[in-house]
Amino acid sequence: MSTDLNADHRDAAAPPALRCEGLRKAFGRALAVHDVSLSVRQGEILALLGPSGVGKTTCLRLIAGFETPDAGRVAINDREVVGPGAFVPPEHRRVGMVFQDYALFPHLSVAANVRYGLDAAGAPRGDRRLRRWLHAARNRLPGGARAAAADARVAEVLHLVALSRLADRYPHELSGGEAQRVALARALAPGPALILLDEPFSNLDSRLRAAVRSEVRDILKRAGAAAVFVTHDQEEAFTLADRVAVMWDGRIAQVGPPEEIYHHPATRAVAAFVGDADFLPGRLQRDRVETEIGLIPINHRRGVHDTSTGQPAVQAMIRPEQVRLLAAPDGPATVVKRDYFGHDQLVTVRLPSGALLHARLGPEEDFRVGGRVRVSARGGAVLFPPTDA
Amino acid sequence: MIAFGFPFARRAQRRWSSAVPAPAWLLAIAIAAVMALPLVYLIVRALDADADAWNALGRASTFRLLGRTTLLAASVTVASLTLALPIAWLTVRTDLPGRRVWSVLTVLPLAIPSYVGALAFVAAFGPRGSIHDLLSPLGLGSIPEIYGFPGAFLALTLFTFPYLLLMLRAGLRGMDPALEEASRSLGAGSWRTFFTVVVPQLRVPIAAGSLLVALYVVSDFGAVSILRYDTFTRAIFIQYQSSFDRAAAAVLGLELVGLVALILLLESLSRSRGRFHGRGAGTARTATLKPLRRFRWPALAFLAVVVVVALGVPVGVLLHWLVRGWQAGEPFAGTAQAALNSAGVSAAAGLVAVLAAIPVAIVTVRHRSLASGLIERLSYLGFALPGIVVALALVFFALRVLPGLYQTWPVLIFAYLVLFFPLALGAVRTSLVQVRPNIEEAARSLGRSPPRVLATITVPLLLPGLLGGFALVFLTVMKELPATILLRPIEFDTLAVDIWSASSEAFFARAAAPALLLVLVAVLPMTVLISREYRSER
Repeated sequence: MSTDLNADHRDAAAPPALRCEGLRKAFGRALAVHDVSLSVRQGEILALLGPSGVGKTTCLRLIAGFETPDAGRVAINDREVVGPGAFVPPEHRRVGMVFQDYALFPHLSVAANVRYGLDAAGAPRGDRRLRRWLHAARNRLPGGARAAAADARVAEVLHLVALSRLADRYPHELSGGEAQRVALARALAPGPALILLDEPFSNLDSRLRAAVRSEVRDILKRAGAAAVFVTHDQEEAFTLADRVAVMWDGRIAQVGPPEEIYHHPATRAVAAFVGDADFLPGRLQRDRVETEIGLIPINHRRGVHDTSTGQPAVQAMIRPEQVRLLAAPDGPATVVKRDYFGHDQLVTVRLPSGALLHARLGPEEDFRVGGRVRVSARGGAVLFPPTDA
Repeated sequence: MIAFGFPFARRAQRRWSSAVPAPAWLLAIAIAAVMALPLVYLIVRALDADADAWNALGRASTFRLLGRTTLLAASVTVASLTLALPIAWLTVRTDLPGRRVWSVLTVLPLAIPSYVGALAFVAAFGPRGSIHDLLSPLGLGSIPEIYGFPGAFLALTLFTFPYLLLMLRAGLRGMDPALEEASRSLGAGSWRTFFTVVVPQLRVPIAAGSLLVALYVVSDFGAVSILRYDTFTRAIFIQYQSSFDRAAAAVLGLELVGLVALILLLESLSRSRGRFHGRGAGTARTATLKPLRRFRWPALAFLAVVVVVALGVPVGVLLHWLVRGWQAGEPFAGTAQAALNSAGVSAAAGLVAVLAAIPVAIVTVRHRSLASGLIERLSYLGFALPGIVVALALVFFALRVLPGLYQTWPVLIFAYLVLFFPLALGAVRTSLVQVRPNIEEAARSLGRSPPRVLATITVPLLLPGLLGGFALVFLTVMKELPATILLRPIEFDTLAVDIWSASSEAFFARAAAPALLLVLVAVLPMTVLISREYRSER
């Protein structure tokens, strides 16, 4: 899935859909969210990415209004909903939320679930004929026009998520993917300023996940909705989001488009979390870095500066797909492990220094465990300061 | 899934703390205060007690009373569990023939007032009872003595085990069948699975149901007085009736409160460890019914014995009396009016109890703390105290605060609320535990205010619990006696009052018609309740 680059420039003049400044939230002595500032443009999808327990969900609940921050402010469409002296309750924030377990109302049909957030009175229940009669009668009553508009909106949103035929089903009669789309439709129906999704795909099996993911992205883009979603899966974040905010220990470690996060990670932790990464000790030599596997061009530097004196020690981050292997009986490295996935393979080699390096290779290349290889790297490395440990 | 792995305490706190709105707290505290009225009354009365009454506490006879009451409560609770556990499992989880009918029949003994049941047992198994008459020509002259402990134990077990049964049924239905399947797939047989997975998962309903049974036994007067077994409640009644010494009775009552506090403590210890979450409402997946195969006939025989003794014997004896009375030209006038009165006042009490249970359930389920625990425990007090204590407490307060209300409907219904509130609370709590708070959050994020979320989401999802609680309170109020006698408006007869006034004068034939009507009126809500359960199963 390619990134929608246009989204970045859309409505440059319009206020951001969401702006958080200095959000802070502690539970007892545990600090869950620490000075988080974020902004989401109109129509933009932002992923909050991080391992479990770093405060992503708390962040989302602060934005939705289910938690009150200890400090900081949140503005939605330039309207302050939380800040010093301001608190707008969740029901008045115009925020749609999709929960991890969908939280569909089990006693309401799909259509009634979607309709719940629309202002008109809830859809009448009862048998189908009665419902149809009431539907017809309502159009003739005062306020009927509004009810009819709500019906039309339900139909429209269900059509958007391609579930029109399931309108009369009940939540327990839906598959996981269908329930997911109903939850999304329900959140979209009132036309919220912002959609929040909490680990929206974690309850789906992996095969379904990829398909539903791209569906959800299409639906959000078609609806033109700004969205923030929480995930611990970097692949999910990269494929679905226009921009990714990586969270670490309650703070935002880095925000940027997926490519930037992957290729220019801000910290070693981010680098390792968003993809496989090896760190080789090296020495900076003007515009290149000298490592055990040779001189590598520099792609990016994080906190590493040229010094007039000598060649400072650095850590060079290399992604496995950059590593090339060449079978050679006199090669300095040894293959120690091979994980074959089908579409590619991950080969682990031990360098003369004892360091392990991973190479992601095409499926056809044939390396045996114990074989000797020569190692080289394509593209550039990202440099970090050497760690003391 | 990693997402579930991180600090539980933190997550739990986040989930529950913000969910309880202030009005719910205020209502819950107000209701708890109402529940504490009998305790306040006992303390006020006991302050008047002279040294003699206090000295009586230390006497050997008082300890004997304490021992006898504890023995009866403990043995009835254990026996009830032994009956209710297999019955619940058979009627909910197996392919037992006629499950629905058995479900209704095994719950119905709840509709038989303990004093009626006890009278019927005396008539059937007593020294000159029908069974004795049947057996003596065969040379089986002596059957076990019915008076004293055996009779009280048998009668109270058979007429209170349905409290546990109802709780266990709800617990079994709310349990995720995947747990059992996991156990089976790990190689555990069905017996081992039942005792190592099912029963521990049922700890909450077992504790809640046992609590109801134990407290009911502690507060029962009818069965123990007819079967002549001395307990605290009987002693308190006698104190009131014979000597009119309210201060001395209050001292005894306070000691009973101590016993109740001990029982409540035991129950709360049993639930302190572990958390139990039913599967979320709506993600219903019903367990496949277990085929009984060769155990089918023994199972049916077991159920038949329970139903015959607990329901067949009392109903049979009542029918026998009815026919005898009819032959003797006994008049049945007034019974229909009494039935209407009973049903009306019971329905009103059920409604009030269920409505009052909603805020207390929200506070005690969604916010676990010392305060909410105290509110919950307090609500059990009225249920555990003898009806006469609760009734006198309300007489006391009504006469002092609102004299105009004495012997009117509102005070009567108020008394039923104090007496039977835990029945409603337990049922509503069980339902609420299965409504995950994020369903309510979803509703709020869709623009609905908390009161509207309550009306459109929470209450509809609580419906099974509300109906169950209503039915339990309804049934129990129907047979309630002491509070009804003391607090009813003048000339307001109920079935229970009719039964009591007839049988206390030994006109058993005249008691039969209202007693049978009582059972009949109870069948209706029970049947509706049970068939609803099965309909949701589909």
